[in-house]
Amino acid sequence: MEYDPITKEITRNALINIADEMFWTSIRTAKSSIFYDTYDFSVALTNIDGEILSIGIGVPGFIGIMDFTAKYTKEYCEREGISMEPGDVFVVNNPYVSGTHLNDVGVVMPIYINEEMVGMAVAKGHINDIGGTNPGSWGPASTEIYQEGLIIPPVKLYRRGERNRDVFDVIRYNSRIPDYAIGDLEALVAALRVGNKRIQELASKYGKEVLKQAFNDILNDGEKLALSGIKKLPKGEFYAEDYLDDSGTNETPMKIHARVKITEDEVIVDFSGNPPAVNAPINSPYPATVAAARIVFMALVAPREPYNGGIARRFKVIAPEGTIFNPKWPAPTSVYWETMTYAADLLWKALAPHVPDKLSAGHFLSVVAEIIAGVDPRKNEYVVLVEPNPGGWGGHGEGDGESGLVAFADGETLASSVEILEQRYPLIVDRYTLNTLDGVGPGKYRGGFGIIKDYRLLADGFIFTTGINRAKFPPWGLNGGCSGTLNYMAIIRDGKEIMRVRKITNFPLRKNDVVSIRSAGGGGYGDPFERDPNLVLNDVLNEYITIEDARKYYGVVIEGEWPNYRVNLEETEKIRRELKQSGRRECVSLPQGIKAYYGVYRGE
Amino acid sequence: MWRVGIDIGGAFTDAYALNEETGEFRWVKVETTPDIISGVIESLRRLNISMSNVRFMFHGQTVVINTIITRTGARVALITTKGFRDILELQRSNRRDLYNLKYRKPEPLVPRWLRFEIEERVMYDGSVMVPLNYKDLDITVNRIRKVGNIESIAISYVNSYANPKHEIETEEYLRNILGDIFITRSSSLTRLWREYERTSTAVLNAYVLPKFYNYVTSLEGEFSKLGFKGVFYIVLSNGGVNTSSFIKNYPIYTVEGGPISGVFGAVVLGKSVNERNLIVLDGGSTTTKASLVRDLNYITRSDYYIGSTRYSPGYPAMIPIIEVFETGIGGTSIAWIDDAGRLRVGPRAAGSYPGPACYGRGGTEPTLTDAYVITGFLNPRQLLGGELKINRDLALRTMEPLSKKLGLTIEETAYGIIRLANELATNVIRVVSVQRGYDPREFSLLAHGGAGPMFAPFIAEELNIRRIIVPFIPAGVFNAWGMLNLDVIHDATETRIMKITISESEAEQVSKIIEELRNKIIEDFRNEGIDETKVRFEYYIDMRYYGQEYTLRIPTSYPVTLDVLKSTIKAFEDRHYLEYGFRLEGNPVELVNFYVKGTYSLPKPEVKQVERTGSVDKALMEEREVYMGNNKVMRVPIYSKELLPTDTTIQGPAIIEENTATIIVLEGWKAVKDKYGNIVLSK
Repeated sequence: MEYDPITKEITRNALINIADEMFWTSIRTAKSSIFYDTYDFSVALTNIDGEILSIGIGVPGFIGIMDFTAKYTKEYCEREGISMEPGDVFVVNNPYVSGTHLNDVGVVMPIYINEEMVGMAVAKGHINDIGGTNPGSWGPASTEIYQEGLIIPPVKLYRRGERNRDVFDVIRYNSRIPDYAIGDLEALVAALRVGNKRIQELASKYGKEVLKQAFNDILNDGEKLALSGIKKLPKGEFYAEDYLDDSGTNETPMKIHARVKITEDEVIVDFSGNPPAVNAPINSPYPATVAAARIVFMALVAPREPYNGGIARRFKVIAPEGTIFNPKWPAPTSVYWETMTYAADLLWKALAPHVPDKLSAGHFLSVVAEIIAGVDPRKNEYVVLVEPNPGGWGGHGEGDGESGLVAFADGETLASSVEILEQRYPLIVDRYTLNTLDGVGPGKYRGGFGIIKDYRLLADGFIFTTGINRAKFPPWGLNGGCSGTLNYMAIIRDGKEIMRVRKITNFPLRKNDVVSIRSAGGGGYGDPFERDPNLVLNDVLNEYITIEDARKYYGVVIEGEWPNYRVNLEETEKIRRELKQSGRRECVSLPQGIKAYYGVYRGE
Repeated sequence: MWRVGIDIGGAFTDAYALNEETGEFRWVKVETTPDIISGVIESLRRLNISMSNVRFMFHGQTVVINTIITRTGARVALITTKGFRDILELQRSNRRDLYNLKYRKPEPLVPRWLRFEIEERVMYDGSVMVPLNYKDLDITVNRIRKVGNIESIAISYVNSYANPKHEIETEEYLRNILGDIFITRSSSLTRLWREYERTSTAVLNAYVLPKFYNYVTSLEGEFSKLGFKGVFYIVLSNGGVNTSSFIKNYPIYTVEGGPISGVFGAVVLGKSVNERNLIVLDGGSTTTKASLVRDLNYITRSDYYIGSTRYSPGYPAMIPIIEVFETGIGGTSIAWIDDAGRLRVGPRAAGSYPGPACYGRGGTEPTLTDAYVITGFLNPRQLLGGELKINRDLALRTMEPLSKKLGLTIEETAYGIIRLANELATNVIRVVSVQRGYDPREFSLLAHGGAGPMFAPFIAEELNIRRIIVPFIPAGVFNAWGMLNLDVIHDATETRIMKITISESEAEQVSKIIEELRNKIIEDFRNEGIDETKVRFEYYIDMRYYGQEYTLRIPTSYPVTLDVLKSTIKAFEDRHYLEYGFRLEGNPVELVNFYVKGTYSLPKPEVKQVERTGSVDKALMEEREVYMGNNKVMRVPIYSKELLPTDTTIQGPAIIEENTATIIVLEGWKAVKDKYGNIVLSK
């Protein structure tokens, strides 16, 4: 077969379709909802160097993790003198070099065409329990990685297509839910097999050399796309700083910052000078830091393009080893994702004022995940509920922020269905609504609303764990907009709120206790006094805000009775004038009394 | 007697008539009028058939889908469980457009101020935890009256799939108080779990209900004025029809009524030519659709998203719908060069206006049709039986900049666009076959739609499919012919979670669930005056391994004995292996959804044999040069489909033209016109 630009495009599309097929193969075969509802997994095809050719993705964070997994596996094999043979499948979860936390288990298969290795198929997914101190394998209390589960260097799960029972057994005996762990691992391997099979079919049609050439060109084209995106960006040096809510082991916030440099042909984000890694699991491994930052880079240069490794060639992330953005062994990493998102948020915050058509004000940022676990008396079965929760996004140059949307590093992540939850867990959802209680950041375009979700336990003996950020420092406002509100969870016992918490491990719940999940409203964009009074009217009619709020935050006077409200324009103009002259501007007051409990909660 | 079909699209209203005795098929096309009705009447007049001789009237329409897409439906109030007012706005919180940091979800069809909460609560197992609070209902009624112009109400409570009692009581109460208002109850549409998706289904129905109800009622009146005394059927998304009087309360069931008719047509045609396994390819002007027919059965599913794209999840509708996959490649897809200098085709398309450059209507961007014209596969002077003049020079002119950028000749560029577009279209076939565990080589490709026959040979080459059928009915109106062959279908689904240990009592329980659904269907048929003894039932269970989420739909039989249960579970495990490549030995199986479908077959006009007349020589219209890739130009004979004699083999390369489409016979293929007039291509 002759090589031409058409064959290249056909190959590129074929690779995208193969990754899609791999993705659906895993979804359809996985046992855990974190695959099929949360899409906390990814599949990819790489060239021989581990650069991503195409990726099947539901969660954008994986765009930075899959290539590290492939590259590291190959390097490790070369260094240790392990051969990568056709039909081999490696399994690996070493976070510092290949990923995120130990739950994210990767599998890698070398792809051979006629005795020559031309690339790799990679899949990686969140295995719900990989052992360690905590059910679910993550929790805010660990001080070393050894507490966070089984550590797997690249070892062969399949040897020339033969199942390596030994490795399966080790994993099986380390997981609290072995059937799920093995089932999900098999679902990842199923994707690799499909990927390899389809590449073989392509090779038999076009030939090895044509494919290799196409792989090269696909990546070079990605690089060209990135360059053309960078051309449209403002050039120069930018800076942003912020605070992590705590230091991992105590309540002292940690100051973090990023320097961004945009030149004619690359974007560099430099995390040098950030705090050293801590003895708490909030460290973000380098691949995770890169992954998050790459999402912002994609939003800037090629938001509607399928990702490939060529695009990433024009983006550099500097993070010195031993810092929270690039921890060393044996720093724990199981709750890495918030710090990782802060890395991206810094880049976002530094550039947002200069690229208002692509970047919004700050969003609720945290995954706001909780674990509720125990024995379901209806089935006499140990059940673990783990889920991310949606929240409010920031306003931007063209409109209000979205409400109740998954956090930045999540994407096609489905919030749980109440009806499915109630079938699976002994709890009842008392309410699931927008968080109008705490509000949003006002602005010309306001932030979106977070959520309130109340779980009432119908059984005794359950435990509750969480670790949330943006519970002290709200999402930032942009170009004159107010900042948003805070994330937290409340425990309600006998109708009384007994605590508000952002970090806690294994809190014992009683029957009838309510866990109330509350996520933050997003930051506002622009001066609230410039908000169109009709938009404010609409917010009042829809009970997003009260008449009093309209006056207080936006200087808009609303009159009349539901549903026939109207704006008193004259009064509005007068009040706005006065407020502007006095320089007074009200932003929403933040929820109070949010605490953190390190280690197992023992009461106050 | 005749059966008449009416298909209303945005631009044109098509009317079709099939003579049940002679098999004669007529069709006319008129412009769709703003009031719709007068266009329908005009099209019926032009068919020139006495309405009193019409036994069945079939109607496919786009009123429902267009009302949703253009957001021109009714003002709806939503009544929901206390604490769940925001279901419609929260949705599932996903961000499909992964790198868009200003993402917005599809806007809810009911704004927050028209979403009312009622104190009530049903548990996961159907038991009532909090009784329905009528005081809350009274407050809501007052608010609805205060708002004034609410035309339609949707009711959707949490867990109503497990027990619809409160929804039913609410509906009765509101009907008593509010009288003549449109009300949609989620549990009357579906008994499947997932509150957002079910609420969305109810709201979509409520949103289009007033408009659709009035539309159907006025059509009924007009038909009756014209002397029509037969039965008026409306096409459903599940591949069947229902009487207008039944379905006008459930418009959401008809949302994709038009496009799926071709799948049913394929089943009818497949039966007549004894092809039981078909991949149905519908090549349109902006998209290509594919679906799978296995052993003369198509696949029905219950999760559909209206307006879903790569960047937006759309609005979910839990309605039974024939599984059809779609890709954004059609005859008028535009070819372009992106920022990285790569050749791309679609998803933007030129449509009918301005259309491809070669139509001469002002199209300035090169399209797939232009590429086919440049290479000579398509007639470079005229299409649609001469109705459409073609200007090849215009195609060449728009193609030139692309070819310069790519460093290829214009012909190479055009041929490259054809290859790339067909690769993209091939993917949709892979999705329906390979990805679901079926080997496309075991299927015949049935190609219809204006662009279907020109895609088919390339797709077949790609997937090693060895047989292509282009129906005797003009490819462009095959959907309509399919519509005239539809049957009356009622179906019912319900979520009932059962972890199975395989016991006698479980079999009884399953049997009972199926019986309930069956009884509901029997009642629906009785309401249409159809006796259940004439109804053919099919039973399906959506099953999975305990712990999985995704289910497979497995056929079963009724009544369910222990043996039936065992064999159904075995069928599931086999299917799981076929589709996913592994079994989970020893893992219990879980039943999730039950689906029962009842079909009442309407009498079918026989597919008639055509007389063998004419000769290949007479059918030969001309020879033309066709660019076949790799700098190869061949002189290719062009035949008229109509004039070809049956049972005569034509060796490729050749081209067979008909009024609505062009059939390409590639080198290495042969074509035969069979005794029914279908063109069968084989290798």
